[in-house]
Amino acid sequence: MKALILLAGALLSIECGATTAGADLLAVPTQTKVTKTRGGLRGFKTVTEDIRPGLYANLACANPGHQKCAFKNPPQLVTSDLTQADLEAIDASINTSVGNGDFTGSFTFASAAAHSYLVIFEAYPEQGRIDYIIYTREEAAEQGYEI
Amino acid sequence: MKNILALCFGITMSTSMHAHVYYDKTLGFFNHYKVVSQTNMNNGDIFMECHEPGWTRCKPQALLVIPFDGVDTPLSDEEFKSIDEAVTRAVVGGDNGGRFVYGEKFLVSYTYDEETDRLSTRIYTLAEATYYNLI
Repeated sequence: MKALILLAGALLSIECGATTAGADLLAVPTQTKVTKTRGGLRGFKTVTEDIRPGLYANLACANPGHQKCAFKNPPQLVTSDLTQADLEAIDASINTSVGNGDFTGSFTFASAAAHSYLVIFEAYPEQGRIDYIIYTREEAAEQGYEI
Repeated sequence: MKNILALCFGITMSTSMHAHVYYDKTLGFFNHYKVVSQTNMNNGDIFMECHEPGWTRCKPQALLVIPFDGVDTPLSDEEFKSIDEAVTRAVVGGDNGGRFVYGEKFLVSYTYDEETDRLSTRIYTLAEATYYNLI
């Protein structure tokens, strides 16, 4: 009887562990897309997140306001290791490029946790819009990009 | 005849006394706009406007000279850019309006409306600002 209980406990433990690991995996979208449209000097009026664990994390920011265009909880919602600081660094880099007149481009970004990401951006000045996508190395490879 | 001369003098003085630069910016894209224009008004004021996101940088289209009381004060592109950057920094930092003296040469006054992203800036010579008790 004791052995049976121990076996049941062990199986339960393995099952719980697998579920937790599965949830972690599912919480990691393979790509992150940010769209910023007609923002004001201070930020945006609307900031909308659309996150599908395991598929994508989208962020859309529009119209003049005072909100920062950022995910509410990037470490858990966006990828396993991209931090808020990483996302801000990516955003700042794109802003600098666009401000210098480079309206389309791509670059590799190394996160604080030393993982590589591919960032592809495109700006549409007549619409006041910037789009960019952050791919994990694996997703970039799947899409045929090289990091 | 005396009255006519006095009237002409009065008109001349009133037009030159009021001259300053004012410009409005609404919804740009990294300081690039669709509509960028500069108009020299009849009273000597210079009006610039930059609206809607586009491809043209918001900056003076011709040399800015502010006439006041018979004295022409030039406002260089560098000075304009520096003033514009100072105003933008203040607004991004949270100020909805204010004024400051720039380079012991100009008084700059600005207001910002977050809802429309409209930034209105006025640039006066110090002589004009003093005359109208703005400083």
